[in-house]
Amino acid sequence: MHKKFKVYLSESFDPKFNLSIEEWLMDCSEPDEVILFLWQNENTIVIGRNQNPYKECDVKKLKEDDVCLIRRLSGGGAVYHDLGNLNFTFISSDNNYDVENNLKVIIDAIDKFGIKSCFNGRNDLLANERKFSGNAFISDKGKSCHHGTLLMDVDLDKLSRYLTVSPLKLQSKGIESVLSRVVNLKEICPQMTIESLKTALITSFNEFYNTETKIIILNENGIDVAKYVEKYNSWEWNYSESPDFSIVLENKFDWGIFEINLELSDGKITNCKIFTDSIELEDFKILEKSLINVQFKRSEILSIIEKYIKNGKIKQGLSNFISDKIHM
Amino acid sequence: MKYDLIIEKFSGHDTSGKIGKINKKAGDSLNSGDTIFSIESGKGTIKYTSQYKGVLEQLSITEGDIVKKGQVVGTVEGELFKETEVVKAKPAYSFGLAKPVQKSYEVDVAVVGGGPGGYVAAIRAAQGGKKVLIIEENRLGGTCLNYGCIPTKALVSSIDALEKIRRSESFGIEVGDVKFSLEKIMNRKNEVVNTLVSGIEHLMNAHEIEYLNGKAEVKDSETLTVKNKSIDATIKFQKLIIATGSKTAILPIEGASSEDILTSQDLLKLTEVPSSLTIIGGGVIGMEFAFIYNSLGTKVNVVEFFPQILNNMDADVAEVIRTSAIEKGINIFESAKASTIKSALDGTKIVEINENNESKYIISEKVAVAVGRKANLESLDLTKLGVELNERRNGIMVNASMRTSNPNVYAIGDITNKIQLAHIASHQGIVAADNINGIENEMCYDLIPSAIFTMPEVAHVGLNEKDAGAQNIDYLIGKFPLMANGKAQAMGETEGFVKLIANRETRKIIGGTIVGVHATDMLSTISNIIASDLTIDKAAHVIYAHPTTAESIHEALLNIDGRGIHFA
Ligand SMILES: Cc1cc2nc3c(=O)[nH]c(=O)nc-3n(C[C@H](O)[C@H](O)[C@H](O)COP(=O)(O)OP(=O)(O)OC[C@H]3O[C@@H](n4cnc5c(N)ncnc54)[C@H](O)[C@@H]3O)c2cc1C
Repeated sequence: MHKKFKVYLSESFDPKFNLSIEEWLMDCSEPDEVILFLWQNENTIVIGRNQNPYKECDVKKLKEDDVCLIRRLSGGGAVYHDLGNLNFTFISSDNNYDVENNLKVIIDAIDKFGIKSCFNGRNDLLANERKFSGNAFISDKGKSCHHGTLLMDVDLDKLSRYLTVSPLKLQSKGIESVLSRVVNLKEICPQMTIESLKTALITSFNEFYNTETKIIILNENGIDVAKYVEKYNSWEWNYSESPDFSIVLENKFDWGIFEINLELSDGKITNCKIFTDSIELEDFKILEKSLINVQFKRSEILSIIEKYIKNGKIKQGLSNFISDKIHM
Repeated sequence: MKYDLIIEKFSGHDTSGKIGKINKKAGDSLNSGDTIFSIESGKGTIKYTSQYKGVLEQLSITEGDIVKKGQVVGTVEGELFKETEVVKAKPAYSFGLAKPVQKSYEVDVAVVGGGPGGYVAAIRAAQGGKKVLIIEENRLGGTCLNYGCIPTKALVSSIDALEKIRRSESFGIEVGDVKFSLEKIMNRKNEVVNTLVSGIEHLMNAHEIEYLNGKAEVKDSETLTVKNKSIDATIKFQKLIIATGSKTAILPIEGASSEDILTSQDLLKLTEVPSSLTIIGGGVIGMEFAFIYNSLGTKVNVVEFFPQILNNMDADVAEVIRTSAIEKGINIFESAKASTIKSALDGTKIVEINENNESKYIISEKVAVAVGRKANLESLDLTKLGVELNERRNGIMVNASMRTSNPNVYAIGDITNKIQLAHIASHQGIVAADNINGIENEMCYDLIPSAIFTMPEVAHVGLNEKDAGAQNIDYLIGKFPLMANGKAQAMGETEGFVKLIANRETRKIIGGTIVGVHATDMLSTISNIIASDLTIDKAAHVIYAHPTTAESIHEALLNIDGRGIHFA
């Protein structure tokens, strides 16, 4: 089959825009197109399709530091992106799709900087036995997408700070992230820059397919993907599209120990149990019941507490406690 | 009919996978194409979509379960929808959209160039209620913010700190080895620049000025176009303000246009301190960089064609700077004409100069040229606009209202080649915008202040002795050395003086120069004295706070009549 090659570059660092473009390319590219798309996100945690944000990262820290959290279409683990990271996406129809080819394009591009790298057979590209690229794959409606990160000069402190085991007691059925030893390419080749890496990838893509692709620049002004952006911007997609999970929140107040067990599905509370040794006269049973079917959002839970807890001290304590634990 | 839901495939050649998010539960109605759940395996993620229209009777899996190829995971009551019957989602967006968007604007005022001329004019025009659009091909802030006044002053501030630390012992402070990092100094400079540039972006927003990033081109005398990666714009304007600035002038000698000859812009982004540097041009820009790189450890040579460095200044002013430079180890060659620049085999540069008809050679690692700036006359098609050049053909001709030969077009700043200073550009911008807003305003060049950030600083306003002499004005001078000023002594910075010039007949102050610490910040006091038309006696009848360096201005005023208190 005749193939058409296209290279897209995003000028935007907004993860909502970039993931929208990726999905749009999956949906709308022609069957004969083979696409390379390069993009960067600013200060973002991207979780896998089947992950739970509360589990994978410290949502409180993300909120405090203004880090964006977003769910992607493909599975796999959570990753941290900043401007030291370059993302690549290969999209083509299933019959033009070959992960080996894509990997060759990447490995050859990295080789131009004198860095030898290899695929570890799972999801990672390694150089000097350390991971510099995590890959994930998705196929849908006859199209396949292979995308990954390239750690060029990522703030590794932040990476480990945000992707820590959640301080919340939580059990989830979804997919867990695997932490591995990572390396920034710049550490191996100090001259490398994001720009030179982009150029190398495009050159390598052209060389591999023996073509001269025109580069298409994308940004918010040039293209309207508002429909997709709406989804990537929504609490429903980013937070509630997680597999079912349960969470235990506990705290010692001056009026007693309080423990609440929640089971959640589609972002809603499906089951709730409260244990407390408080001797205050307060009907926690009614709180348990009223929380069922409520969205696992701070504002929703606070309004239930406001409505059903009578004792002012307990109300205040619980409200502060919930605000401290739930950040969306 | 009843159908079994069977796991038919995974990504790639995987044979088992893990159930991810389940989107449908038993009892839910199904359409063909609906996602029921997703499966993750080593080779990727796929959605398990329904081929049926009906009801999901039961689902025997839960999230996180491992499933194998061929496994039955549930049942559906309904009908099978063949592939062809599935309504294929129509692409909602076409690829054509990724091309630049065509836009057309109709504005009262278009400004080309976002330097201190252009952005100030844009703000003033917007303040007058005009609909304004500004076009800048590089970065807002122009030369001044990005490659001129501000970055050089950020470097000077680092150097000031460095020099202070080096002299710390004289203040009774001991520090260990002083180290600096050129990279960090440059980063700090970049941060200063970026902060200011984003400040201007904010100002554009706040005044609802449309900003287009791209190169403006003239379509006809009423229309501009701008094309960049995302837009393809046509701009119809009532009035146009040209503020396209200037660029480094090239020295017309052998070797000067070679790639490795540095300009002021290059000097702002060196990544290593050169061991030696020859600067051709001992004017303001050349001298500022001479002191900067000297402090960083470079052996600096300055070659000046005129009989003195900072040739516009009085001889006693240049003398202070020359002495300071020589003391610091800068080599100064005055009345010296650079005639060729050659490269040795190892890349070192050889500058041939002629001093008193004698050829000499200066060898250095790098050579920089700072011999002035040329108006960007080719930046726009002036003929199409009907805009004419001045007599010397080195700038756009304008009248005192900044209007060009085309009554709808104004030009301001370096492009007019009147006086190439940022504050002149800004002031001309205000004059042009006022006239556009229907307020008569004219530019007057009598009281131009200038500031030079050498070590020590120089500041000047109005006439100097050279000018007064040239204009045959009978003048008086009053001079006061900073050495006699208490504050300067306390600071340990006693080089320099304040010099005031008064008209002997009218006894009015007509000019002043300060060389020394705080010179540039003190200058406006003298500007105000001159602008208020004060006589020596009136001006001296003002109390100056003690102890300040500004007391030197008071003393200089008194010294015009030989009545100074602290200097005899
Ligand atoms: C090293 C150095 C130090 C300096 N220090 C000082 C100082 O301390 N004090 C001082 O007063 N002055 C200083 N100057 C001078 C000062 O920078 C200039 O006088 C001032 O920037 C002139 O302003 P302007 O608005 O006329 O032009 P510029 O600042 O040059 O701005 C013109 C802008 O127009 C843009 N442009 C040109 N053509 C087009 C086009 N066709 N379409 C779109 N955009 C276009 C350019 O990209 C540029 O940004 C210094 C200059 C240099 C080089």
